[in-house]
Amino acid sequence: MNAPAPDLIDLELTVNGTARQVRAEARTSLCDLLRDALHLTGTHAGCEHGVCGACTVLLDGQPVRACITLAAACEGRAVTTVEGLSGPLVDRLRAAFHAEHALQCGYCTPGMLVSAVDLLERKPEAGEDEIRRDMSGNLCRCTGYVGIVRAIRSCTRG
Amino acid sequence: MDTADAADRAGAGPGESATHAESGAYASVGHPVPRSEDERHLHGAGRFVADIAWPGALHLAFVRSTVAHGVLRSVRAPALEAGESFWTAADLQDIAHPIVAKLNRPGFQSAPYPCLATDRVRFAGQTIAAVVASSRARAEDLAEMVEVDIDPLPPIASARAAFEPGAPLMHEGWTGNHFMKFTRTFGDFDAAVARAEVHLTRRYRMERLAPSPLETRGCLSVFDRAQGRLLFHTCCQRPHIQRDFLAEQLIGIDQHRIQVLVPDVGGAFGVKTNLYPEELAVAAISIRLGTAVRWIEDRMEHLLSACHARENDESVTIHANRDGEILALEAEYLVDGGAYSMLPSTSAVEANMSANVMPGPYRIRNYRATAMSACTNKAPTGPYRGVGRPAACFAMERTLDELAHVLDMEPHELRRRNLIAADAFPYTSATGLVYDTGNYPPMMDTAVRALGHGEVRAAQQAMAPDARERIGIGYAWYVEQTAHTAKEFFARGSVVLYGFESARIRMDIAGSLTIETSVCSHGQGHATTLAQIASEVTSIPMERIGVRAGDTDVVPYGNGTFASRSVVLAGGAVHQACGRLVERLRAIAANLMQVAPDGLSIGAQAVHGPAGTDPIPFARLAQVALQYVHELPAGIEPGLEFLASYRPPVETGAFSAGVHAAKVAVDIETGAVRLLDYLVVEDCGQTINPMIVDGQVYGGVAQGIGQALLEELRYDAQGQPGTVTLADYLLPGFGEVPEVRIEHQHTLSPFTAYGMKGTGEGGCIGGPAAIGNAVTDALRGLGVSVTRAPVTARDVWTALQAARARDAAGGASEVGAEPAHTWMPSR
Amino acid sequence: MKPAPFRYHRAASLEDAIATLASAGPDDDVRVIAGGQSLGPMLNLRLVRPTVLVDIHRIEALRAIEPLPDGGVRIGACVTHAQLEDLPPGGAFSAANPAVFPAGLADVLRHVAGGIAYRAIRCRGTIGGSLAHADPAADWPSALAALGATIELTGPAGRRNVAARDFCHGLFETAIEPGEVLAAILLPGSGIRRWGRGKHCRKAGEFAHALAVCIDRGGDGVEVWLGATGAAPVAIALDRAFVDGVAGSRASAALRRTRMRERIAASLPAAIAPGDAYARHLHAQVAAEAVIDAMANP
Repeated sequence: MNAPAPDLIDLELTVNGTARQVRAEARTSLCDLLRDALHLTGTHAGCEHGVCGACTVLLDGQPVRACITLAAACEGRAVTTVEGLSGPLVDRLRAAFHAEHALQCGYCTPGMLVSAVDLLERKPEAGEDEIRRDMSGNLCRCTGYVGIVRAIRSCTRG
Repeated sequence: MDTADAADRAGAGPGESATHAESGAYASVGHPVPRSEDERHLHGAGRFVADIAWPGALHLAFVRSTVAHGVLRSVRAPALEAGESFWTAADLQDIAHPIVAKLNRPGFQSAPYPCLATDRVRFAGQTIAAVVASSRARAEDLAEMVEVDIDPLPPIASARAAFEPGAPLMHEGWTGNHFMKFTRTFGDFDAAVARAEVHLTRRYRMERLAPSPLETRGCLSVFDRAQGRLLFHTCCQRPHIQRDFLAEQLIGIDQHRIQVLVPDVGGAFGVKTNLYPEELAVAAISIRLGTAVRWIEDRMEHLLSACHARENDESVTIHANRDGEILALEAEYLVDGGAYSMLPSTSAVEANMSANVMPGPYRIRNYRATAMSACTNKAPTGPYRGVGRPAACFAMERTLDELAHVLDMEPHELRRRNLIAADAFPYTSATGLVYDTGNYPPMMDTAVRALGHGEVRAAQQAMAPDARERIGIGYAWYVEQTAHTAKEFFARGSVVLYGFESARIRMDIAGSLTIETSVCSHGQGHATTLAQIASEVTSIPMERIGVRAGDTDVVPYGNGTFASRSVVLAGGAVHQACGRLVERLRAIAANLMQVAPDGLSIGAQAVHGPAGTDPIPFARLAQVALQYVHELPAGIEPGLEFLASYRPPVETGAFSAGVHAAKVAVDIETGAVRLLDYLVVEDCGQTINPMIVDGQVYGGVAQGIGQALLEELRYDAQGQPGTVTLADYLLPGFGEVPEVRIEHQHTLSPFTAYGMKGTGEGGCIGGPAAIGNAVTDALRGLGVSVTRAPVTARDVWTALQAARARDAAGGASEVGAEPAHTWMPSR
Repeated sequence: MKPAPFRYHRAASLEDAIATLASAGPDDDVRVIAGGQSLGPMLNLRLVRPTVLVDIHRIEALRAIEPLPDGGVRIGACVTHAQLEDLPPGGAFSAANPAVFPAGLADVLRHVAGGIAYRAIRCRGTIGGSLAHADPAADWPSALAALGATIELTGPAGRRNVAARDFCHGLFETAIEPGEVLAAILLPGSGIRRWGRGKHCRKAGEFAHALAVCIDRGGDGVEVWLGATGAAPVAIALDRAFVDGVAGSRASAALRRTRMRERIAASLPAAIAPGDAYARHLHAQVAAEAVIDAMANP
């Protein structure tokens, strides 16, 4: 088997509000770029094929799977990771996760927070069914989701 | 309140096994304190093994077998660039012994599990070679270029095939393809069978599972040349045991030169109790290279080769009277254990545990159990939350519902008739398990009431005859042995005996406290619960108590977190160590006050003397103990460090119990099952943190629901795995797990601090049985019953079709019925 | 789980993408990538190993949803599922563009898009990418066939249109010729009278095991399109009188579904899940649900 030589590319993107310049192989996922090149290890790789949601980040404000988003495709764009989430809604959500025992091992938590912030911004009045439907792309193996649903619900305007 | 008094009371005798209010009795224990662990995770600042930056660390990838069974002819290295390396078994033979898991039980057969395959491969996914490069991607490129030549052998792809005449022997020197098989009879079995009026036999199958924590396995092994030491960062449940194993397996490095470091662990559930060939290979290679080597398992590797679980074929016969009294029970378990035994639990753990716990909460004195663990060409199996109990519960509880149906009784009435009475504790089960305390009948009542049993029955009656969705309810009981120690593991034949847990506590001169614990959290919140216990005993507020774990250079020796033991044993150690601290503080205070220590009490971080005297703050006492030693009388030792290694006074464990109740709707047109309600009635004695206990229950239930409805590792007849991504192996999500309801009861253990019992596994035990019973209940009128977990829509629909076809003849059909039932190979 | 190495080219325009495809060497395996939500997992699993990826995701011209002069709608290939899921209620194109969709069309698009996988996948995955990937279990191939869409392909020889019903040829096989790029989806301007959909998954967001769409624009017949068949979507034509008869019957819902299912099962091509009674049942069941759902809509 003959593999071509790795193709290195130079990227400029904004991560958590800061302009970053990085060189990476073309095949590098956004997830690996954040973790390895930028040392933002809050974004976790759980499955690396887009199912578990642990690596969910915001790309220009929208949630995406960092594991199946090429870093190269993020040139010039703005990425927000769990480390960069901020604002009153996020503060409330973090406090609610804490109060409702919405995390155990913490591995899924960054992706959960990112997805939940997006959900609450789009649907501030979401009910339980809608929360469960819209969060269905994030897996948790510890909590049975009970605390997560309660935490998100407590942040809705319902 | 006087906490020293509380500490005394915690050691209360059997007379105290009353049901206590949850939190009223204590200042800290029993309160739902939010966790101190959360803050870092909520900011992405948790540190998991893959997050540890190490300058110059190299990345390792494995070459894995693509065939299930074969003779390994040759392995050819790829073209390497500078700094890259390639490793086969031959390269590691003088640095790492192959892993050999043993069990001290008659007839147990062990075999070496090499860290890289030597002459034979025995499952698809087995490690054959390793490559080391500057990135994981490059290592994967190289791994693809390795040329492997294997002569395929006929694979053994099921437990039954392992016992077929002419089946090839899986391991050299074995007398058959079993890790272990035994039959044991308890009580006056034959006489009881002869007396029974009803004999009911049913067969079931529980599919193979992947424990699937969100964080896969992984390690970063650093050979520190400066110190000549191995720093092994890993995600495991038992740092000291892992270090023991590494020292035993690695050649030429004495144990004192090995440090195991466990950072945050992203879920484990038993799968991270083992020492894996991959981990051993990484350690050996990092020593050889004299550098840092990282291996982070990917999800496909996890589904291929991290310890699998269950795959348990069961046959049950209940011998009973017409009034529902069970006179005798017979159970046969045939487990597909995979190709090798995991260190240390072995591939016999599932079948043996099932056989041992089968009688559960019922008064069954006459019992015969057969357990067989087959060796096949599949990935090894081992401990996963619940171990053997979900299968035993599935077999027992499904069959009880079948018996209730035959006897025309309500399932809960049949159960009530056979539950161990509240006044029978301590109760020794037929298999010799000693249940410390329990109070089961009220739990059954609670379940029936809280589930709305009567309303469901009325709704079933009122249902239109051609209703698309049929509703049903099901119950499932279990008892959960927790916090058992050395004698119990010895009785099981375990080579490693987990006899105690330790805590070292240190008060500093500011009066704050550090706990170093031998257990190792993978999400259980030990930093919170252990601090609650310390706070209870010492009156020091939680925020002034730090907990350290997961570093064998720092924490005292102990066995780690598994088998629902941490709160009782590590909590017991913290309780004991804090008691000693309090004793020292009182002695110092008594000397300063010039009174006898007996009359002094502890509260608000101070020692309180007789009325009218000023209390002495801990910080002042610490100053005396640590600095102003000239104020200490000669009889009191300076320093404020206390090590307690807690061995419980009873080694057979504290027994928690639970009954799960499920309400389902079954779509008879598609076979799809929808969970309408899920209720857990559980009793784990005094809870330390009820919020965390609930979390354990919720999470366990989600895993039980996954096993009941979705999860299933599939292999084809050639032993090829068919479930290697999370698109194939379905984990339950937000849409599949309902808002579980929990009802608590608190029957205290007489021998543990505060009367607590463990609770880590119970949540996952009842799901398949409760849901299987509920689906069967929904479909009773249609002549269909569940015999397999997971209960899939396909199985349900297929059984309904078969039942319809057979309707004229009045036959019944089984959901998930396999041709399986030519069963029991020769014993 | 990392992709094999490849070269990456972010196309600035459709012309640039086509030129890059044309310039590939004889040993090159060039793939077009848009959102990468289907290709991404396959790259990571090394199930595909292109030597060159041409990224069309940033081409502005492919990201628009526009009204057509004939009353139809043009959806650029790189419009994401989320953009369609978020179409404003009432049928307007956007807050900025008050033109309205043909009756019913926005509802169908919103419904289909909103049912695809998970929100994070929908935010990045594109309608054109999904169609070009042609996974039989995906939602768009059968839905767009049922909607009577036309697929616009652009290549070195210019632009050509293919009917969506003829576009998918089988598992991962389409009408796209080497060198071509799927540029847009064109939807007809005629209004939708009624529509219904059926879908069966084992868990939320999972790929469907059976999938059906029924679009009723009036006329003599009613067509139901089945997806997730393992190959190209399949149409089953039903007689209007039969459908109306079942829909208007006073029989129980269960009986009406049974009659519809049996009728559809009788027309289910033998090539779909041969020998798998359950899968064949499920296709017929889900298709019957789509038709009955459509007929129940006002």
